[in-house]
Amino acid sequence: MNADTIVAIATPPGMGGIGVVRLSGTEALVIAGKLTSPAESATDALPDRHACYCRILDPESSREIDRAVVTFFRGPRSYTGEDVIEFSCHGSVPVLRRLVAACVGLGARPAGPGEFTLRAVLNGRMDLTQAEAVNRLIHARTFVQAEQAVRQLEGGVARHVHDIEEHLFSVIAQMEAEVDFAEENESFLHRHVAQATVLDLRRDIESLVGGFRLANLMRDGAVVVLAGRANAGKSTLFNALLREERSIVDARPGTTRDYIAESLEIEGIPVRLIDTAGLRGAGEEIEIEGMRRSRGLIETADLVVLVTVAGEKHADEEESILRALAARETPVIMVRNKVDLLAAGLGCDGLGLSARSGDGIDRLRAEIARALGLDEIAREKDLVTELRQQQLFKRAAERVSAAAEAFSAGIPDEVILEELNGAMDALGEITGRGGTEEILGRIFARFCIGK
Amino acid sequence: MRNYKIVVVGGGHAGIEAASAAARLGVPTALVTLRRDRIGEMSCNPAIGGLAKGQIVREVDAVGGLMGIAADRAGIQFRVLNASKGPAVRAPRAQEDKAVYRSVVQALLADTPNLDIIEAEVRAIACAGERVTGVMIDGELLPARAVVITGGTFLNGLIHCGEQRWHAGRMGENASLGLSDQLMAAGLRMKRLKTGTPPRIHRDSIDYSRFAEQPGDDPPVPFSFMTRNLAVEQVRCYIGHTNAEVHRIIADNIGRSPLYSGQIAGIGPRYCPSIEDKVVKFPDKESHHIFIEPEVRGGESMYINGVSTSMPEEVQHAFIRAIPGMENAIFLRPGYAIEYDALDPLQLRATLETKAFRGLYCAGQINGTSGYEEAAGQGVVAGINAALAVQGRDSALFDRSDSYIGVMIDDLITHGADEPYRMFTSRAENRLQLRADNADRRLTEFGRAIGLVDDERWRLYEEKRERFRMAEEALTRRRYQDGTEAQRAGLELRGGLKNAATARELLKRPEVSIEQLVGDIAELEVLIPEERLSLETDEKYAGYVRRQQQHRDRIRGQESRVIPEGHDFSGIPGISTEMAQRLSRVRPETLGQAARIPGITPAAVAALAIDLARRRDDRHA
Repeated sequence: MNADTIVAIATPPGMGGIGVVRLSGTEALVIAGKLTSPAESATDALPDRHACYCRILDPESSREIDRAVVTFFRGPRSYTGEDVIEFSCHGSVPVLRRLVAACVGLGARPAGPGEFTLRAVLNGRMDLTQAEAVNRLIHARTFVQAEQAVRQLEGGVARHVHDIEEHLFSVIAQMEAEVDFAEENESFLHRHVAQATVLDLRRDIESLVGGFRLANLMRDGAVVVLAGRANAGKSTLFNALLREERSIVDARPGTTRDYIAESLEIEGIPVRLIDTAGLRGAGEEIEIEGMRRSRGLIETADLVVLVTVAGEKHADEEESILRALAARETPVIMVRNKVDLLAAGLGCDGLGLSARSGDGIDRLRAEIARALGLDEIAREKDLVTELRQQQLFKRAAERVSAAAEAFSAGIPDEVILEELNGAMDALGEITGRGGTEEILGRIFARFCIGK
Repeated sequence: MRNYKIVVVGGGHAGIEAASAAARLGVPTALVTLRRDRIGEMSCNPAIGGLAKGQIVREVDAVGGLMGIAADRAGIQFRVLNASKGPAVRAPRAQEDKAVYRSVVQALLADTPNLDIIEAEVRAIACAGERVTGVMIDGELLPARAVVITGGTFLNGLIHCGEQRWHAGRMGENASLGLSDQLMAAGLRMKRLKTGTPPRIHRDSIDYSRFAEQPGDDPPVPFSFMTRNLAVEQVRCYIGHTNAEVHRIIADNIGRSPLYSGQIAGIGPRYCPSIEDKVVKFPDKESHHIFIEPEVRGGESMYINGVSTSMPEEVQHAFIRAIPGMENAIFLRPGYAIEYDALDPLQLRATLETKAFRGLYCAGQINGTSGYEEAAGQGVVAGINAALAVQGRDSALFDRSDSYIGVMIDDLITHGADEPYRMFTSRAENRLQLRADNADRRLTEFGRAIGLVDDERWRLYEEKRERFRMAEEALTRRRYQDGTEAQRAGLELRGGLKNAATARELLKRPEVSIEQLVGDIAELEVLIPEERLSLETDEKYAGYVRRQQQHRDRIRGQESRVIPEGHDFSGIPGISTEMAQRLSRVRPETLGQAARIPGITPAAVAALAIDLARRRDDRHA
């Protein structure tokens, strides 16, 4: 029924030994080709119905996502009857999500609920009992999805989408009136006003596209900043997390005068870990500049690990960091370092660890994943929903952007409207609104039309 | 000749096209109408075409219909609307001499073989079970294999003029009483719609110095592909406006308007409001435009466009005479509103045959539309398909991606018509392709395959097609190696030319026009300027058209997935009661149509697809 290519995690959510990502459609083989590099075989092409051990690389960063067994099933001899690729990865949900995100980046569409099986049924690959089961699945899950599509967006975003829609519909209605009711001898909208509105819309939608947290974290990696006052042991912790001597460690405060960044994976999540200059009252000029940068990094972080010393009272610098983070709603993990130096039996608040001995580092890793909202409990569905919405907003942004460019190139309104209507359709797939009747209704309500 | 296969009921713009098409396809046809001399009457405004409607006229013409030819012969002022806007929304429109239009149409029908005109009233449709067997005239059966009802505003027509009301089909003509009662009794859903018309004023009682003149285009642009030369002396129309005094008189008397007194129950069109509606709904607007248009060349009667009204006659007199330049207006006929019965078009197939009765077709205003052009488009569809059915041939369906006619039919049978349906260009998602300038290239071959395009039109079309092929080839052949070569050829390229490109590729750029290329590529002169512009638009819009095409390809499977007649939507697993009700109401013919029904979710479409696949397998098992 459809020719486009869909992708989803095919195994149940949660930790398992093996996780399967399935890709089905006309572009499946092409997309897989861009992601895989055979680890053992000399040939590039995936042979039909043979399991190949491959490295899976993120096409943008070239970083390895996983090593996996990849099997190509040429249609119609496949689960769906179309070309199908199955990636059997290690069963880590974040890894599977990154692979899905990478496939979407290469043109696949996140599959709807039961869509693989639906295709299988429509292509005659499935018997009736199974079809009935799919029916129930689709019904149950899509009902929830449709009901919650807009509510799933965070409150602020939903309002924002609503505003964007209002402006978009309004400018389309006025431009359509200008086109369809030329006999009225009236002007419904000045072109420069329409152009300004469209430029605003472009800015708004693009900022919305940038706001998809889960999807972007999986694609770009999370920025995790180690912050704290000088000599709290940030660099030791940085090295412990990296498991290598990357930061210059020294007992004197202020050793890290600029920041140092490294990419690593924490619980399968791509992370950009940043070690910052410690904050303290005094210091040389170059150190003061380093501290200024630290504050900037803290402001843009997805997560801040505030490193303090176990058994010591909070310093003013730490209190000011906590206040700043609370204002920005940035998640923060309070680490009590150097627990090994505490007198035996003395407890501490926060997450106690010893960066030097490695005690508690694993707990910190798990805590980082949890604080980023990407632990095993976060369900597969959230990412799929986000990816789908982000794709649609992206499409809307592209169409509005094309409309904005058409304005400045002096291209006729009918073409601009083609783009704006495309943007409306994309938003409509999220919110269920829009369409010709909506636009005509607005025209008739607002303007006195008709001879 | 008494042995008809098809009977067309009604001689308006739908009936004319239906009868003409059926007869010219070789099927013995009778057109039954109340008054032979009123065939081709333009009941309301004296104009044909306009935005989106002009495209429909060109489409009717391209498949071999009559409206374009008749409108060219009877036209007295021609204008292309939206001439300053993009080519997809430009549209031809013409003021018509109503008397000449009638006589042109009547002459065309008189010359049509296989077609008889019968002056009579059809009181009932004759059926045997769920199959039409003919129509009843004066208690006698006139047998037919197919019947096309084109009742216009005549079915239970009720005119309102102030507090007065009386049964009529239009002013001065009898309504058709009984036919729609019979249709309802047979189980068809009917609804009550309303439309209106403005007063007609004596030509000599208007002070034209108070109005702005509106001349026609020079040279005039015709509708029909077959009109080579349009030598016509054009008349002028006039534009004026209402004022606060006009609005005050209307507001003071609003309780006497049948629209506001509750006397009218039918639903009128939002896009064609009465003057009382305009005054009530837009109280801040200080004046509304009015257009003075002659009904016949040199005739007494002027149509006052913009002041459609059903106010009592004396109120009409008062407010018309408050219009600057109309102080001494002499009324030839008051404005009035008319309520009429229309069929809920959800009960129709894409051929315009009713789902309930084999052989019973409906076209035009009876299907909930308004406008001569919309009626003509449906008349062509119903006439063609009735004839094809009688001949045992496959039906000919207009696709919404290829024509406004297809958009209209699909909208009607999928969305229904809550108010009288008028075409707008914004209804067509494929608007950039559905242009007036390429209607012949979109549909002539379709019309030829059906058999309505005669040899002469086909010969001219083939010539044109060949000239386009030559021009396209020349554009593809001419290649510019770099910016300098392009510049020498007279092209000013924004951003230069990085790689060698053909003229055809360069034509896609906004700054390059085909006229700039004519000097460089002599072969382009095989096309006349309008044709060159049409070709240029093809190239400029090719990317958008392709995108639409890709979208359609993605869902093409849905369009070809036929839903069997009488399919039960209620017992399908995964389809909610609400979805099942929506589907049962429309009874879509394909999965694609089901997907376009308002409120139908993708999940319901998926469940329906599975159900169809399951039943198919059951049958094969």
